[in-house]
Amino acid sequence: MMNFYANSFPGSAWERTDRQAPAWHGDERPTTRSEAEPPMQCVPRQSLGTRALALLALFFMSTMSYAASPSLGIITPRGGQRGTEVEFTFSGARLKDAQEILCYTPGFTVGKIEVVNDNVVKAKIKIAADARLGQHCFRVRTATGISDLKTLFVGALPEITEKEPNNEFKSPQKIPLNVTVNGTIENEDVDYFAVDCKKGQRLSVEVEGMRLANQTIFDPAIAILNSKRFEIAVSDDSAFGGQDGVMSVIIPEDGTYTIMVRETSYGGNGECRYRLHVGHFPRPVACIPAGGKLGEEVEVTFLGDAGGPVKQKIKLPTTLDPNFGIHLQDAQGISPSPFPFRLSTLGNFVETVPSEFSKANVFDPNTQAINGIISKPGENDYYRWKGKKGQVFDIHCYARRIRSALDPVMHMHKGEGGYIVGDDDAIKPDCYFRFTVPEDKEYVLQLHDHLQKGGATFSYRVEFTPVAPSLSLFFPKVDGNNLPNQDRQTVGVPQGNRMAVLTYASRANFGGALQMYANGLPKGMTLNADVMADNVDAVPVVLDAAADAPIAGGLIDWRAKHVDPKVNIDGGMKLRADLVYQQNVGSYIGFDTDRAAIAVTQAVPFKVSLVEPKAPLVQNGAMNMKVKVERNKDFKQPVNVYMLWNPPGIGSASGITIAGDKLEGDYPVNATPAAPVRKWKICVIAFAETGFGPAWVSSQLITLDVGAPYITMSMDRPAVEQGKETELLCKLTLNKPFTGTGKVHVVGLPHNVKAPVLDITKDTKEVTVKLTTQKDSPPGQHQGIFAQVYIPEQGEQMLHQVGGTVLRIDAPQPAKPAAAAPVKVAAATPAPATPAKTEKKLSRLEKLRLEQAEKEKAGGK
Amino acid sequence: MSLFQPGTWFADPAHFKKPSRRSFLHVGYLGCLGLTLDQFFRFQSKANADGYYQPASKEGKTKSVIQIFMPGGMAHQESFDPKPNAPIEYRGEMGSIPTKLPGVFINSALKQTAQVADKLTIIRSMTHGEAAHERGTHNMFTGYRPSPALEYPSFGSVVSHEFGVRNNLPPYVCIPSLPTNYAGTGYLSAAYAPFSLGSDPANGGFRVQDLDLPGGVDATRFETRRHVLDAVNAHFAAKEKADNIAAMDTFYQRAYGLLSSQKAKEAFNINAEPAKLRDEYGRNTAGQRMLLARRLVEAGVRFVSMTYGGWDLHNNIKGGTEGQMPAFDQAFARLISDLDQRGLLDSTMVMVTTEFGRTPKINGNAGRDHWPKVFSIVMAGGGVKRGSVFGSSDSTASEPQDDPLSIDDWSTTIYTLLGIEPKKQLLAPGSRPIRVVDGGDVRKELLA
Repeated sequence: MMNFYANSFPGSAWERTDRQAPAWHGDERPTTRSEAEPPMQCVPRQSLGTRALALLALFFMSTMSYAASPSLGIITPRGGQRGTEVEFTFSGARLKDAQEILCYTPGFTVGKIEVVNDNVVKAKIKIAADARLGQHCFRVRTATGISDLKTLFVGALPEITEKEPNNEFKSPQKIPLNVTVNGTIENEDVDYFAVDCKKGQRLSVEVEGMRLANQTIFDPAIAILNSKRFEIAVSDDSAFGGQDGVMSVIIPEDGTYTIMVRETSYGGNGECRYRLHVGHFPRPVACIPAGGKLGEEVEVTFLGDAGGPVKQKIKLPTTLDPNFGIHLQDAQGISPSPFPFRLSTLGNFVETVPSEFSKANVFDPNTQAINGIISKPGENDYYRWKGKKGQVFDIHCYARRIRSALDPVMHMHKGEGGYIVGDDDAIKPDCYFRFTVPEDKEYVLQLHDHLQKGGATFSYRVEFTPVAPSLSLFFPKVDGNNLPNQDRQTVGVPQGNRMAVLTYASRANFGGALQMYANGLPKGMTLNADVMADNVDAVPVVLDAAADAPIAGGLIDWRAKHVDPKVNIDGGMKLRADLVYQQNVGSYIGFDTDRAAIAVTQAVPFKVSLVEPKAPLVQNGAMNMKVKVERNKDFKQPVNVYMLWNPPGIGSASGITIAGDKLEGDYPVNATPAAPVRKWKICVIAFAETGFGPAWVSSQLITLDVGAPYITMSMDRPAVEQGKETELLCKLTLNKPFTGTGKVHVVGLPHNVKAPVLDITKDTKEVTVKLTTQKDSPPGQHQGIFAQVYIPEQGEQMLHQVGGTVLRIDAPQPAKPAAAAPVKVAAATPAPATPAKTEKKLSRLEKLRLEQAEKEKAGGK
Repeated sequence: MSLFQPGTWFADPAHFKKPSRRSFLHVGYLGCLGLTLDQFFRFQSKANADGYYQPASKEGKTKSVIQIFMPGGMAHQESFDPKPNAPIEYRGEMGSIPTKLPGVFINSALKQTAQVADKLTIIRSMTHGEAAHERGTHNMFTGYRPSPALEYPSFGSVVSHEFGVRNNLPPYVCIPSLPTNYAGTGYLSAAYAPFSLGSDPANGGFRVQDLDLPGGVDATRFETRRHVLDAVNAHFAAKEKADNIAAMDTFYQRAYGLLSSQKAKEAFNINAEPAKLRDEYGRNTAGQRMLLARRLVEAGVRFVSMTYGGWDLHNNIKGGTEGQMPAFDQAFARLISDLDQRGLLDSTMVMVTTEFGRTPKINGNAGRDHWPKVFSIVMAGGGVKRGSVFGSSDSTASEPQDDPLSIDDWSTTIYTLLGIEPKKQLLAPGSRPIRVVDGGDVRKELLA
């Protein structure tokens, strides 16, 4: 059988079947998610007049152009003090019809949105006094879509702005203590800030640079200098802040101290923004324990602050929250950015004394998590525990994930000695392994630093958790070559139209089919999706918006659950937004969102639909799916159509364009010989330029029926001399009867070789195709010859690609004067008797055998 | 596994040769010097005084070369090797058209090239296996796989080294500038580096850098300056032996030649071409670069290297090809017919080459990724067969099906047509003899 798929390469990039290549990320966080927190939406407070104006503006916009695909580049200033109102500027593109600022976290009240121009909108946002400190995520919803996700930062201190020139140590910018400076580092820029301090005071400095996720890669470095320009403290990178530095010192004598900020290699540009927190606040860099039991009060020791270790009791929430963090607060202030803090159902075992293998700490993994410190170089910590045969634990060591300096390595030993298993970097650089308890006995867990380092802030936390199923969903990156992009990871569904999104599922520790659903979809919107089969990890989801659905949207709880109601598995979004990304390095700063941004948007002047094929697409066959475009009067833009997802074994065109004056187009699709025989729900998505920015819609879901071929065919290997004719014998096997007449086209023939189109019916067992060559038909072995057979089914033609052979064309033999004659005669002699009946049915091999037999016969005589 | 490792001790096949019986027949006193009889005869006939195999190059059928390089890796499927019968995800979205060669189809955007196909040899079985840009580029510019031990010279620099200046013109010119370091001199002296125009002939104010004397300097004053400089140079040359001093001197000598010859300078004056012809080539980078290339070889430049477009189409290969191919098509077809009309095609080899091909299957971004296992290049003129297709790829353009063409065979064929003995040993620093091509045979099927 002719098989075009013989050269496909499993596992390679080009083997992907979807148009939206998935991007996988290291899983750093627990798969549990906040169940209590409702989606936060910050609706602007608008007066009646404002609303009327907005409606008027909307009317004008809808008559002039259709906006689409808003994008958000950056929010400035990059943060604000909690308990204040700040006017933020949202810069991007196609924002002129902005209607709402969507916030992922509580604590923000958005005031009036002012559209400055198409690229800039401003909004006054009240930051609640109890808003969490640190990073918060936002999107802008316009009448025609939802923007990318971007961040801004909340601080506890009053905000001031850097004032140039402050580039000389001798002429720094004088600033008060306990402020947050918003500044920028230009190329080769060094910013100096002077503060007055008294002996014995704590001076802490923390910079947010890389973490601010500017529109460039910015790696800051900071230092505290004394009046003689000697460094009291420096911090370029830190385990706590990544590329951002943190430091705190006790001031040695009264005087003026200078804080320096620069790019680590004296680079910089207008996008290198930073927030510099300067004050007497505590700035520890580690905490122990780094987690606790839900709802309990935990005593946490903060380490690394200049003032020494501090203990503080912290009341934990009662529900899981993967973004939960803690701060150290004292009379002098609060540490600006939080420690990630693990909420769990386990209590704490806190290491208090150094251990050895024989004198290991004893803990109960079923009720306790280990919290310890590798306090000096070369130290090993040991924990003894009792296991029951058959217990299976996922054992995670959290170190870099809780911003510790430790690069941990874990080993499991038998209680009496004997190595079992270990890991270094499964969750880089943290470690993880799954452990099945082999027998009822004691075991010892060993921990150390990968480079045998250690110190007072080399903290860690180890959790033993039973293996539990987990499920999370994400929307793929549409541009696999541009990983930080967030294109089409939000969904805008135009009124009276449809839009589809491919949803991927990450299943862990379970299998089975999934059903998609969503909580809190905008009014007038409905979700349509087939069951995600157990052997695939994606499903197209089509959202329909009613024509009268109000233009609205938000952050939607997008979920899937196991189709078997007895299996209680349910999961929501875990969509990564990579905010600072470098090719070949990966993501520096990113955020996992737990909700999908979905909105009903302004109507667009076109719709697309698919005509559901009545006949199946057969394995190793092909078909053209009909795409129809419904256009508003006067809408003449070309419509670009793409398959949202190719099910396994299905290939399709990477896109088609339906010209402005056309209402339909053909979308080529084919199936590999091994495509699973089953039905899939598929759809196409389409965009057109509607004035500015592309507007996206989708078709409805249709059924693509992948079937077994109705016929198969084997071909013999013909040979012919230039200018002569030969016959190609094709033997047919009927797998499924059909009515009517099929057509056999032999394709792939070399130049100047002709073959007629032949008819077949369900009763045809073989066909003989006459191949006619010319004197200039190219001699040689011609591969890649096969048959395209069109078989009628319910008024449609099913294309089968069957057969496959090689045609040999020979140049004419030079005439042999005498010797050739007897052979010819000998061959000709029996001709009237036998070949007359069988000639047409002989394969090439049979003919050769016959010729040979005749030759031998003639020779024998 | 072959031990062959370019640029290393393993690269010299002599290190692996079994001694033949004749090798032991030493000739008289020569035996004392370690020369065997066969070496003696060989050296007597071809080796120079230092014992290296360095036969003098003598111009062959190819007098000049125009190398048109498509950076990024041009898809063979979307250029010279379409697969109209393959499934859609292999064949792509673009159609194919017949050419003047019976039964030979090429990409539908190559309409005018199809009409000159009877003057071309389309090679559909080029293969080298290097999927990284810089390595693919290195193969196609030098004829060698890259080596960490040695930098190899480009074809143009070898030509410059072997034949030198003709008509006061630089032997090797890059339009508009050095496209890659691999187009440079490698281990050869910097004296054989290409002359870069430094400006694109497609620009309105195109003017080749440094071709005219600075304002206020007349010929006499220039001559005086030259003598002063010569005196200074002579001083340094006497005191120091360094390649860059010798190379700089060569540059000056060539520059004097160029500056003092109006005829030579005129070769760079694309404005002297009739406006109609410039239009026919196309007033764009492809057209004007190819027109200038023709003008330069007509005037006597031996090797012109130019680039066109960006073909690393991981995304939207149809759009990228449709956007760039028509200008190439128009210019290339006109270049071939122009050379032919002027009687230059038989002495000028035109090559359309690229880094590698692209993946058989269209990827998730509607593009194709890197694929060096098989790809297509085109050659014409200079003793290359007119109107033929060499080799083929399989039904999905994934592997060579017939007559795979290796880099060694390809470059051996090119150098042979140029009149440079491919086995000739050039000297790398440290007097390391390196063959022009290591291995390879002339593929006679490519020759007219």
